[in-house]
Amino acid sequence: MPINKSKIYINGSLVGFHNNPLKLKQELLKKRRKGEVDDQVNIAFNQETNEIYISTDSGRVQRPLIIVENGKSKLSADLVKDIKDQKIVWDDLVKDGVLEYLDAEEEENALVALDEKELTPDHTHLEISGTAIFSVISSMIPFINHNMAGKAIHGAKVFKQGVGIPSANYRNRFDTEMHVLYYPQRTLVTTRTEEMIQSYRRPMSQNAVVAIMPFKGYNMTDALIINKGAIERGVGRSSYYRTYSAQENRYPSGQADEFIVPDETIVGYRGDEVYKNLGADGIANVESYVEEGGVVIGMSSPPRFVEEISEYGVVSEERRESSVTSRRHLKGYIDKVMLTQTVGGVKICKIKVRSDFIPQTGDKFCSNHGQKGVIGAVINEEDMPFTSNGMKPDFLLNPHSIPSRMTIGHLLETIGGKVASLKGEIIDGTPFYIDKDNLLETLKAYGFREDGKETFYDGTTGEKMEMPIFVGPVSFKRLYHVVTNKIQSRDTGSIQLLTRQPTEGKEKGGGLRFGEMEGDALIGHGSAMLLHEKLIDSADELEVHVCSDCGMIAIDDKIRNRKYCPICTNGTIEKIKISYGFKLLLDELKALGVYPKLEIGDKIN
Amino acid sequence: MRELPKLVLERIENYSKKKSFSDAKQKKLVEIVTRKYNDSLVTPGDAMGLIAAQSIGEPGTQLTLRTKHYAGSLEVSVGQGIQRVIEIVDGRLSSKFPSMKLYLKKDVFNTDKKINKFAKSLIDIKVGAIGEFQEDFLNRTVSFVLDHEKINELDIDKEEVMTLIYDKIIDVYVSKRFTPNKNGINFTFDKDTPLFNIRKAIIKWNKIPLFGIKNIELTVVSEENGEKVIITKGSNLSEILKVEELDTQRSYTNDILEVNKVFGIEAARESIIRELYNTFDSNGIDINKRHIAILADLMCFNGKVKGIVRTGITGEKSSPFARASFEETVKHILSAAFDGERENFKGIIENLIVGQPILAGTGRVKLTLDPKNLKKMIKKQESLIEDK
Repeated sequence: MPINKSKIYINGSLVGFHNNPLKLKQELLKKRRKGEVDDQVNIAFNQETNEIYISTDSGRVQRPLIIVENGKSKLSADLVKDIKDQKIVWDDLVKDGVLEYLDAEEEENALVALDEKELTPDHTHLEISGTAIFSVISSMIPFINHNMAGKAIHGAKVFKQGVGIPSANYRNRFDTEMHVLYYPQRTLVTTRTEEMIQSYRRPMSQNAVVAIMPFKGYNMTDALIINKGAIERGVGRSSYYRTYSAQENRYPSGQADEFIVPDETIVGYRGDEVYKNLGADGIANVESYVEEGGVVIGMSSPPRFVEEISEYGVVSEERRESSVTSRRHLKGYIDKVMLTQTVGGVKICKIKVRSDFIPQTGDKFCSNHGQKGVIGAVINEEDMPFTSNGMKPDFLLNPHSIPSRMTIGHLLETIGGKVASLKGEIIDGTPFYIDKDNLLETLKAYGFREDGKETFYDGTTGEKMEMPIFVGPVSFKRLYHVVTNKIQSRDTGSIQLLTRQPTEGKEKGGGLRFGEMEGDALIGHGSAMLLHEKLIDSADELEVHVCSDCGMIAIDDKIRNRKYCPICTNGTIEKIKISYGFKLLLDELKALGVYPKLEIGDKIN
Repeated sequence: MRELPKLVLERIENYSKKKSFSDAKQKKLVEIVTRKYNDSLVTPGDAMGLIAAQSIGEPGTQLTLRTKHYAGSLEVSVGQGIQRVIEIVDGRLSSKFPSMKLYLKKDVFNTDKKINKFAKSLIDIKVGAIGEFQEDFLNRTVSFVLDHEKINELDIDKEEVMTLIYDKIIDVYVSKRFTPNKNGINFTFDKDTPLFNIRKAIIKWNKIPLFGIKNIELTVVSEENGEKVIITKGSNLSEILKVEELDTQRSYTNDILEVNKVFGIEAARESIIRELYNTFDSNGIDINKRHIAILADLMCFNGKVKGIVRTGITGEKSSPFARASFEETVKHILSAAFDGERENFKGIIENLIVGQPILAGTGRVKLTLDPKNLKKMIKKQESLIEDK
């Protein structure tokens, strides 16, 4: 067993031993840089365990770094010039041994300099750009290097929740759910990453003028105030597409579903008004307006059980209504209809309904820096505070949301946005590259306060506000969390079949559960009658008849108008009030063979 | 209006003296405090047990998330956080982290060294802890070899140990015992002793106690308010009380069942309150002691420490529905059916199951109207109005 020799692993399996691991590594590296070994092969040396790992397999994340030799970057000024003149491309640099890809294991052996200025002879690599430490998404956030780490993550998270233009062919797509922003704008402050991936071609944000000030308590705890004028000008306006679908299924009995406009002969007919959008083929007309619960695809299905043949041999077929309706709280225009068939020849209909989602109280917005909030109030434009220039902000953000979250990037983006609007050009906010002092100076040169604040006047009284207020354009996103899709309410409604208690869940029109802990809270307050109302009266209250002698639930024969005990004849029949759940318990006890005898105290007269 | 407790009255008096209030002023203060006191009394019909449960349970959710870790410091671990609370409330027979806090009598020890030596002398040391029995099955001999490192650590005299072991190990099978030498003792068994019995004997010998007090595994000397205190891992209250050097009046164990065994149920009740309160308090949670007292009362009121578990208090409820709604529903319902039990609907859960208003709070009060008397009353009223 060679103890002092280092073990060599290729893709995790031991292949041999070597006396001089460092030399082996160096040789291999040389060969890789020459191109004799593939550039995706990584060699890592672990000094502690005296092992060399050579990885050639898939699934390793690699990142490119500039090779440094003797404290000098291999990417010389001449090469940079060649790149600018488009004489050489990326692959040439990799081939020539200027750049190389490192994986997580080999990175452990590397000493990487962030900047060319800090290079020493010990360094092995140099970052291509300071921005490279961020992901694609987070490096699209301007001035993210000034943010707290947690907020940078929040800011990156909302990129996937933002409403924009989801795809170039969104008009032809039939997604179950889709949001499209009406007036997306290119951000005033961009980063180089954004330019590289050209995300500005289909942006998902708008440049809203945001002032950081409280407003009558309507923007406390992360609420936002939105200017009604801004909404009318199109801030945050989006449309929501929802696709409903149905198909004409065939059943073993030979019958099939059918797209029709249901009439009175169909079981479950809902009345003319509901079917008003349907054309003659049973499918709603394009660009007709559907109310909530309105039928989108008219359909009838065969009866669930094949009817017995009647005496005269005529089968009277009673078809059921099975139309597809618009969802609760959702109304809109029929946008597009698609009719096709499966391989088996079953007709399929997909129908896309478009609804306008105009920003309203409860809708969610977010800046690039994780400063998210829900609209707390929509304020008329004339009541909004204004600057000495007469400019009225679109959003009012509460000042409390800044200090504890330390999103300096948000403030710098505001100033950057202001400079961009004044200069008339887009400002670069690439992290680690831009000096904020330049921005402040430019702002000053244009005659504004260099701290970004402006004098404000109260919108209702016209009085000058005591303190200047920080204001400027920031890119804001509308997020797909929309109240219209979330609002829910119920008074009476559907109940469960088994327990006769109200259903749970938004789609079923259910209630909010009044659970055990809530009940305990009421007991703790001593409000016995309120508890009784919540648990029994508004849930599964039941009046039953009970035999006073044997204590069993009596039979209430409504047809013959007769109430009698099923097992004895001695007792009188009394009416009591219990919960249906208790009746179920009694039934279950009886099934167990336990005789639950009720003794009646209070009875209903 | 109820009168103020004596203690409060005394305090008011002291306060008035300190602030030199006039008699009238003091009287007014007593009046105000009496009103406040009466306001904060529990109203009849309040579900105070449930409120106690909520008041302990809600902050208890914070306990789970927070566990303190002390890196590197030498100390005895006393079960912390939610595990300890559960242990107390369940009324478990054996504690996972029994620990004692022993106070020393004044002027018995004058140096720290002596205190440390005394603390070490309390540790329960068994034969197996300070050495090893080496077996020679061929000759049927066993020799005991001392672990010198351990001996030095425990600060014991070697020869004293040897003689102690020599005296204590007396076994039927052993035919010859050699007097101890420097390194160990040799034992020779009868030639026809089964090997199994030799092993058995060694296991037995390993457990023979030599020094210290049973069950005390570790002692740590620490300081409390400028006084040296010995904290132990493991608890043995009845033996500790016999140690002369200790201040037995103040020495304390956290093992509730041991307190119950030695001092009785009232002390156990105090111990429950103290332990629960301290567990919450050390996690920065402030719970009113009265809530904990109610819990402790419930656990102790019939003379034994009983946990809030199905084998304890909860399983002894008189109502079959209340028992069934807690745990093992079918078992309770069936046993109730076999015994022909009657549900009296006195409790809260029973009434909730059936769908009747509960007998607590506003449900406690019942107004009954006698229709016959009502007619009389109406007539009386009418005649009164006519008279006027």
